[in-house]
Amino acid sequence: MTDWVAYAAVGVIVAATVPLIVAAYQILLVLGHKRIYLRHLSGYLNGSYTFPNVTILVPAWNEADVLAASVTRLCELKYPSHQLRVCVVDDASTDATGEVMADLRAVHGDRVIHLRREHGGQGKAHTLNAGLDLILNDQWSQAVLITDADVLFTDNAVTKMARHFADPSIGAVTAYIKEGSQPGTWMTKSVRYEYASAQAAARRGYNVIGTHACLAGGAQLHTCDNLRQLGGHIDTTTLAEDTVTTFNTQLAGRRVIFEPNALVYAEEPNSIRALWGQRLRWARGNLQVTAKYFPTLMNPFKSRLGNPAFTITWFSVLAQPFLMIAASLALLYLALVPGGQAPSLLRYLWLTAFVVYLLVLVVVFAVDTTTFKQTWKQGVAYPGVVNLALMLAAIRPSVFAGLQDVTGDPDAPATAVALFAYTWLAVAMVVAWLAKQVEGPGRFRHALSRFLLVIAGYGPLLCAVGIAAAAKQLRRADNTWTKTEKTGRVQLGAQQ
Amino acid sequence: MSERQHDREADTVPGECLQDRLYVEDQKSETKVFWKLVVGLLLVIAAVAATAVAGGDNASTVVPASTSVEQSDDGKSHPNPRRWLE
Repeated sequence: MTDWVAYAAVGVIVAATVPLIVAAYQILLVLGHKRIYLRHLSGYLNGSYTFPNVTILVPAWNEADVLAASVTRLCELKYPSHQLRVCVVDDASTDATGEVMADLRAVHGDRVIHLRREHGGQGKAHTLNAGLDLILNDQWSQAVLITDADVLFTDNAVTKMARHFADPSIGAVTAYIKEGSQPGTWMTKSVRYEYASAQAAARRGYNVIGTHACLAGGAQLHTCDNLRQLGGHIDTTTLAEDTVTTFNTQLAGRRVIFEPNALVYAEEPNSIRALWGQRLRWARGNLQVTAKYFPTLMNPFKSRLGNPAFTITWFSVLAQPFLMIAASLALLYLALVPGGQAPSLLRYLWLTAFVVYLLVLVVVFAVDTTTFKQTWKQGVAYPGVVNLALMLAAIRPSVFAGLQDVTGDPDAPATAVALFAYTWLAVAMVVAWLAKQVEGPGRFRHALSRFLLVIAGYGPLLCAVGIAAAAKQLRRADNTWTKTEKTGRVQLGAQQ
Repeated sequence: MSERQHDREADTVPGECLQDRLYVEDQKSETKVFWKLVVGLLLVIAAVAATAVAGGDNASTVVPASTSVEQSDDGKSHPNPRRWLE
């Protein structure tokens, strides 16, 4: 029995490095992006291509604070004005959305459509479907850009996205969404850094392997043919409607592409609680999608979604929080048995993590130097101060070897310091959760929650959300849809 | 029509001229990304190599073939994962 447990413990610790190795692999894929992307652009784009008529679909619920700026911005994009219109679906707003829309229509005329739902609150997908019913049933639109009310597009973003439809195999294009709150805070800058790695870098990797996990909810351009082929509506059965749309597009035989040079700016949560709520919804949605598409993801011969490179990436992201906990338990077990070699395994784990940590810093610098300059502090602190200290300690073999040998006896039970080091992978998630719990009004609570977040790390916070999402799914909790509040802080080209 | 107005007008029509300009822009951007990443990766590789040499790293290679089973005081066999790492 002990033999099996010891072997299993070592196996778990090695398995815990798989998500890290996959992350490194995704970063290396970025090296191949230039060749594939430019070959695609030069192969399909030429002057004879006629750009499609685009309807921009904006779901809105009490977005009066941000609608005027975003709709005005959309109408001023560098895209032929006679080929671009904006449809705002008002999800039974109770604020001044109606008045704002009336003012916008007075300025822009028929280029702006205001569609009001009298009974709202069912979620974004239902709101989008109300707009799609209208758009797909007229013959004017050839493409639909699904976005959010707070999202600001840069001048050529839609042109850069729409040009990909010159390739008839492309069904949908997504853009690079940057966090654009002004002034930036520690939280929003952390999200900005995360987006540079998770979007600008990881989605380049997806372009290279030819399969995408998710179109960004705030910037996804579909051909109308693609949406009609998907049944003309957005999935309402999960909390990850964007992922379902992305999967179904690829299952229908069309390709999805990420346009890294189409930049859009969005407002993201400025509090741990708001971020937790948003990411909990995403994480639960991904679990629901996994259950729904499990056979497809596991079948490499059926579709693009079974591409082994994609499948491994998908599952490693889902499994990471659980592997962190399992690795902590395995280290703890090995620390308590004679000759368990927990210090060496801990060092192996943290050295791997440290290399990946450096790679992420490098790739963020490479793909978005502006963002790196703005957020390098958040990037350095991303794994948390304690994890960073453990990674640095792993560089010197003597530090971790001393964890078990501190009593002078190599086989002595682990010390309190050693136990802390072995269990921190899991404990960091608890501390991150505490950071969310203590956050509240008042300077003290705000300062304490930020202190705990810096200690635990933004990465472990996202892992904690993954655990919470799994717990909710196991409890079969309702698919409640909590809207992320927007305040209009976003500005184009945020420099802070 | 001034030159500025003409440029603005040209930019609102995604014709050949604009497409070519955007392509050149994106080509430059992707080339920069590529070389920055290459240099960054080389720096990381150099840092890891320097650390391994300077730190006398001998604890990060997993070699399952050398795993042994040892007898402990209770007379039972126990695996010795220590050997996996030597």
